[in-house]
This record gives sequence, C-alpha cells and structure tokens, in this order.
Amino acid sequence: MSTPEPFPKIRQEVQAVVTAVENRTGLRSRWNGQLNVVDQATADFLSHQRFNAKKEWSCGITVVEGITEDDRRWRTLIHEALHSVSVGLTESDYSRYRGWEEGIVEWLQRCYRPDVLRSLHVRISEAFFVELEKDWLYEPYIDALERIAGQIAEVPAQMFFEKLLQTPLKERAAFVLSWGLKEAVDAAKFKRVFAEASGKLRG
Amino acid sequence: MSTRTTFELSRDARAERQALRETILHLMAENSLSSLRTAQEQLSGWLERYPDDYMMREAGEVLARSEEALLAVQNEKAP
Repeated sequence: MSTPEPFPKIRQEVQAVVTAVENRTGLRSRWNGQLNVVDQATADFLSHQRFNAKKEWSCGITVVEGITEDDRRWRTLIHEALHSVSVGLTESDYSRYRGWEEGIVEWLQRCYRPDVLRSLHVRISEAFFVELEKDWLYEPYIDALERIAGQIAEVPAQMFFEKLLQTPLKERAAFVLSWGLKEAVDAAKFKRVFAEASGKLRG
Repeated sequence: MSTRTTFELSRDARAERQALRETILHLMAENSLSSLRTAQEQLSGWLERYPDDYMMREAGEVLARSEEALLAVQNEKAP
C-alpha cells in the first residue's frame, strides 16, 4: 500500500504552474517531480538559509509549509517554475550572471502571472501583487535589464525577456550586446547603457 | 496567515529594514561565501523578529541559491 501524498494541494498547484509556464515559454521544465514541503521551524533549525520556496540545483522544488495557504505563494511558485525552464542555468554560470537570471525570471513572472492565474481559476487582484513587488529586494536587476531593453528599438519588452530566457545564461550578456549593436537607435548610447547596466547584473 | 507589509512597521523598523536591504545587496555584490553567509545571518536576525515578512524571506531564496552555487563551483575547483 502506498503512502498518501502529504501535501496534495500544493503538489497540484506546483504541477499546474509548471505546465502553465511550459506552455507560455515553449520551454521544457527540468523539475524532476520531487516536491519537498518543509516545516518552517524545522527548516530554520536545520539550516541557516531562509526562503519561501526554491528550485533546488538537483531539480526538485522545496516549499515552506507556511506559505501553502498564503495568496502570495503564487508569485513565488511562478518564479520558481520559470527557473526550472530557464536555459543553461548552472551553478557556475549563476554565480557569475545572477542578475541575468533573477531579473529575467522575475520580470516574466510578473508578465505571465495574470494569465497563468486566470487559467488556473485563481482570483487574486493584480494590485495585491503589484504592491507587494514594489518591495522586491532585487529590483535593481530588473531596472538594469529594462534600461538595456529600452535602447533596442521596435522590440517589445516581453519578446526581449523571453528571448533571453531561451538563451543559455552564460551567453545572455554577449547575445544582448550583439543584438543591441545591430538594432539600437543610437549604438554609442546603447554601449554606455549596456556597460553600466551589465555591471549591476553580475554577481 | 497574517500579511504584514513594511507599511505596518514602525518608522525605526522601516529604516532598519531599508539599511538591511542595502547591506544584503552590498554583501551579495562581493559574491564570496563569507559575504553571502554574513548576509544570511543578518537576514535570519531580521526574520526572527519579523517572521511574516514575506518579501524579505523571499530574498533569502536568492542568497541560498547563490551560496549553493558558489560552494559547488569551489568544490569543482578543489583538487
């Protein structure tokens, strides 16, 4: 007799969000189906790390039990699902290009979220998330990427971020530099903006 | 679950939180194991007092991922 799934609802939610993200990005998730739901007190006791959820390097997903009934979890689950489809996400490249991963994933989380939640019949006001996200610690990564995107004419922001998600992490900076030098209205200005912004996206 | 936001914090707590955010970003830019662990210790100290600060706890995900990535890179380089 098999052991019943201890947290069936959150597993269903993670699976649904991963599928929704795969459908929107056209990318295959590396999530291996493993879902660890950890009690916050135990997690805090056993580890110096603090988090709500994270995609593990082993391709499992860990969720803190305390968020499983919290409306804010949806933004976190979509963010983690996007990490799971992000191309070329390895430890060594993440260490060097953290902003090129986190900024892109978070921007797309915000972009896809209304549609993803609608498809899952989850009704939470966008204003609730927008207010919350004013406070995201790594907002400088998004600012830097948006400044670069703004220099490339005729490219919608969503296409810019999706293209980067599909590009291996270690190649994203070079890809954007090459793209901008070809497409920017003012190549000299693009180079200045790129140099300043890319410094903020490393590490 | 409660949904504390920074707006519910006292003025002093908000100032402390802002200073902590800047410290964490500064430590992350150093990108060393010791700086990442120091950032996590400081975050833990805050979360012990404000355990339902969802967005600060979420900031810990990037710190945790960064530490694990750096450890893996260092282990690869180790003879």
